[in-house]
Amino acid sequence: MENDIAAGEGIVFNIQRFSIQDGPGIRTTVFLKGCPLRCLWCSNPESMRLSPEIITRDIKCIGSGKCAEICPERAITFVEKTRIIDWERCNYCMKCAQVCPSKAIEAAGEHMTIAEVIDTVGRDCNYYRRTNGGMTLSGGEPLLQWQFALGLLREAKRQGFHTALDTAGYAEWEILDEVLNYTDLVLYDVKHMDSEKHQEATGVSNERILDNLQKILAKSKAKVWIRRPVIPSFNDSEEDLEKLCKFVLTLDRPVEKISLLPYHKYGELKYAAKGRVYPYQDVALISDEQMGRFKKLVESYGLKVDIGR
Amino acid sequence: MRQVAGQKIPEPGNLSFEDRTKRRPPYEWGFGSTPRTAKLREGLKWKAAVVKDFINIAIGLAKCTFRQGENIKVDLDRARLVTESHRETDGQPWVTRVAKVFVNLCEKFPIFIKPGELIVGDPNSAPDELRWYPEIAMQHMSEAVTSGGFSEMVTDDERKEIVEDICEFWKGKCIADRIKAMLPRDVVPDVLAGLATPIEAKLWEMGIVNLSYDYATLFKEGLKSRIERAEAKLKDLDRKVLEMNPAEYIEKKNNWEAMAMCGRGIIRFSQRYAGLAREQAKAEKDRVRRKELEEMADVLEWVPANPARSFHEALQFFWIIEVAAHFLAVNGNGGGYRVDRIWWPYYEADMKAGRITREKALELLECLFIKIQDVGIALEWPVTFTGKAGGETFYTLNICGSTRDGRDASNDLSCLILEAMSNLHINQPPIAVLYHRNISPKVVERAIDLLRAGTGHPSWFNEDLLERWALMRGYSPEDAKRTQVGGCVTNSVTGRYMVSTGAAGAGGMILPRVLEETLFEGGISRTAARPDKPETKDPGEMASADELLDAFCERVLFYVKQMNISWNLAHDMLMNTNPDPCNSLLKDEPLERGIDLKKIHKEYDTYPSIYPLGMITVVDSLIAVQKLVFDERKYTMEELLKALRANWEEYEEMRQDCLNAPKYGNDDDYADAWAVKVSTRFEETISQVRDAWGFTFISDGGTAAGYQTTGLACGATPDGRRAMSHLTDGSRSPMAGADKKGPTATLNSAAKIPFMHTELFNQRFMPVFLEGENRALFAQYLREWYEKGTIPHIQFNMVDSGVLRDAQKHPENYTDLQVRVAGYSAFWIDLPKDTQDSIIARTEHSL
Repeated sequence: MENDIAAGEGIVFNIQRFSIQDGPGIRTTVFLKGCPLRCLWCSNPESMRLSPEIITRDIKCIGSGKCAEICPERAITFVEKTRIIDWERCNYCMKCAQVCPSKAIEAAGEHMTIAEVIDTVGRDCNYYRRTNGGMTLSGGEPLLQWQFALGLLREAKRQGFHTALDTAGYAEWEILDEVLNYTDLVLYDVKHMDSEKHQEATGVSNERILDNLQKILAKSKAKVWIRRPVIPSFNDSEEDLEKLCKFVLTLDRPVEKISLLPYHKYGELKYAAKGRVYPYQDVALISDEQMGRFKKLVESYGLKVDIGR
Repeated sequence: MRQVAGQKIPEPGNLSFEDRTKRRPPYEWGFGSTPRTAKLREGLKWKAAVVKDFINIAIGLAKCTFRQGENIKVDLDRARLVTESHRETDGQPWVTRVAKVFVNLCEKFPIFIKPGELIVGDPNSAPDELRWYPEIAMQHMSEAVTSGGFSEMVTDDERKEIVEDICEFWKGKCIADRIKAMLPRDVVPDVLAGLATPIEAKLWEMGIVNLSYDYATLFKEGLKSRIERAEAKLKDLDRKVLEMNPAEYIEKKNNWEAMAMCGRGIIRFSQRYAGLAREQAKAEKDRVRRKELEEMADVLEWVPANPARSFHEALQFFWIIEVAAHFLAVNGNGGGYRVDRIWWPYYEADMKAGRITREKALELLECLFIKIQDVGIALEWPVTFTGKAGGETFYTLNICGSTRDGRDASNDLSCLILEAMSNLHINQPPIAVLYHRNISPKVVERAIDLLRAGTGHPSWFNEDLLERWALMRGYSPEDAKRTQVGGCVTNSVTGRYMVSTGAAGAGGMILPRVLEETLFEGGISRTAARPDKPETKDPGEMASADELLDAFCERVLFYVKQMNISWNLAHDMLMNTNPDPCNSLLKDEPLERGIDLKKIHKEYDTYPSIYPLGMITVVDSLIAVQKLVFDERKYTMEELLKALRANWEEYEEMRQDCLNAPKYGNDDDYADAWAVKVSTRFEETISQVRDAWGFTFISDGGTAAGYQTTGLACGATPDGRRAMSHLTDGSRSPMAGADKKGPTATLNSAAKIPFMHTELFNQRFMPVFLEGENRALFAQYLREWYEKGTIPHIQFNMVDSGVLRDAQKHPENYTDLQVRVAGYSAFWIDLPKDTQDSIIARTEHSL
């Protein structure tokens, strides 16, 4: 799959300026499309596929019918003024997104060149300089489009920006190793210490992930922030968090901090929009008190910790 | 050696009050650093009009309602006393009559001291009343109390007195009537037709006077010495009578006599408060309060007649002058002082001598701010009164800024002022931080503390650009150094300059209306065109939006010229037949020369300013026209005009295309180039016109809440906006919801427009951006705003839970609302309800 993409071009599904939680300072986060994991709670389901797809917002639909007219697969129909999409038929040709006048159907994922991305990133260079900020690559899993990621990081470094890589770590070490040459900070997701559980909820086991984390600290100079999404009835136990802390303490050099990210439901409606059931629909949000307890627990291991949003 | 029992003044910014901004109220006893100020605040009457129905307000049907359901009344005392005095002085020189009116007010205007007050003085005769100025305009009042907005704010007897006695007396005599009678017939439909015309020129009907005194000097001298100066001048004048032109002799004699009369009036006014304090002290059972009242009486007997000797005296001096000269004598609005500098010597001396504690100083400041809040705005036309939603008198306190040699002028008092505002949670007085190269980062942090309290204070001004503005307007470099903000975003020069003599600028220009005329009178509704207006090329034959801009500017020029006619006539009358002896005494030059302040005004700058309403709406409109009609040729001009006329009815698709066309505020060079072009061309156009005194027209970004009321008068615009909806707020802010790339992109966009005049630039932020480590980033964001060097002003509205709640109820109106909750940015409509709830809760919590 990686080979489909020319080195100078990749698929980006969002560029968010004034990001302030994806590394130090004021940053621009570039979200690359495609992810090898299938986390059940994923809040960006539109980031999973590598190629562009459509996202829909029914409330914006004005019933123009243009999408139905143009769809070669006849996957879109209107009942009264309500648009219905047959997701089985949709092959992501993106024609509907191009004609929708009200952006009720939008493309998620756009082919962009390295130069185009860096041009946008560079617009905020003054803010980076003032705040030690820079560019963060996120996803999806940015290492899935690793050549593109490498090109972006290399170019960002050449322009003097601080670089961060937000990764789930599920990649070949050789790729990671090369990318790390141009990465100042790694935001590294560790979702569960138990490999089976990890497999169940994300579709992949965690051996390679933990192995890569060890190697990053052993073989590179990049700083590391561990990120732990706290997911109800998956990893919201003290036991697993303790395991994580103990593991972190065995690494070759200390990580900068552990960020606990309380589960949110930002993704829920996106599933509904695709006629899919959100597996976490009925799960309650994590309380502030519980997050506070987790924070104390990590602190008790002498590790720096914060709670993200 | 014996230690002096003085207090050490903390380094500026060292004492954080962030903790208290997280609590609501900040103290266990309420909003105020002491139970006293909390109680005073609790007793405040909220005199800001609440706008529920803009449409009915615009057509004069809506009753004025007030915040928290307050029952606010029309204050008759001032109007009654002014009228009474005028009846007695028929035939006397005008300036003498004005002085006698003022003396009558000082003698008889009802005064009160509320329980617990330490600083006294109010230009309304009762805490639940609002003053008005029949000598400025009467017609609106007689209409408003009869069937309009103020009809429930008077008793039947009062209504009768207002209509049949006071208004009857002033009919034809008040300044508004005298100006109206003077206007040439051709100008009348353009300047007097309210929202039926794109220009709102009759600002003289509000009669706003914007003054700035040189308090540093006044505090040192006291009024007695100024009265003595006037008297000495009179003696000297008599000696020189033979060498003088008789007209000059008469003018000066009348002026100095009137000035001295007014000075004695102010002292008398203060003495009356002293007397009331003594009276209350006698009746007071509580020993502590009795002593306070006696001390207050001592203060009020001493100042403003004599030089201030303590911090308390300086504050009371300041406030009694403001009440008497700024609000009773004239309809003062705005002002603007570098208060942390003018009060500083007194605070410093008191602290060093151990006469005051920091806590006591804070309490005194809070007492003063509560008085400022209580002033309220005068009752004008119900539509402009409610248009100033929030009840702003734009009475701006400037802090920080630099000294003449470029050092930071911030001090502990700057921080105490920020702290007082943060404690009180009131909207007056607005605090303006003058940002400069060497501003103390710690003081900036304290200002962010206040911002975090969520009341919108402070606003931030680039001090370099204040200076450049003054130089542009022809002031000396020395004067330019003493420029400050003295209104919404309007500037003033200490002691030197009157921002307005009774008309706050030449008027507002509703730019989308001008665009509408340009589009339609040249095209499909040519018949509606007036023969004297510029003939516009048929838009259908235009080859680019640039041609449309040319035609737009031509029409702007026509209206500026119309405004210039009314401005010149009105201004001449305001300067020459509406003297202000009270304020002449308080300024050095009129006192020295014996010439009325308003006449000297024209020697500096008459400041014929235009408020460009909806500038960015026009920018976004031209972008959409260029993009869809000329670049992409997706629609013809005829189709677009049809859709606009139909208010997009049956043209929803086209509206969506227009909405989705590039918009200013996203760091998009294509769109921003239009913002630069339109703003620059507009400014070039209006600056071609000079008023009768040789001053060029200039924009002023202070548009108050006009973007909502004036939006009602505008049809659909090519940016996708529907008819009768609001315009862009502020002259440099993107259309609400159109800025989708976050605050760095918006700031980059705004910075592309060169600095040409005062501006208003609003930014919306989630409160979380002022939390913890984010504060440092926010401070750097501000720094970048300053370093960009082209944006004179920035202020921040914290997104509040009210907006989010409304968005929850009416998601269809908020399809573009993005909540940027720090790490994650999401469209509001994409979030499930419980997540929305948690964001609302968090927003409330952190405010």
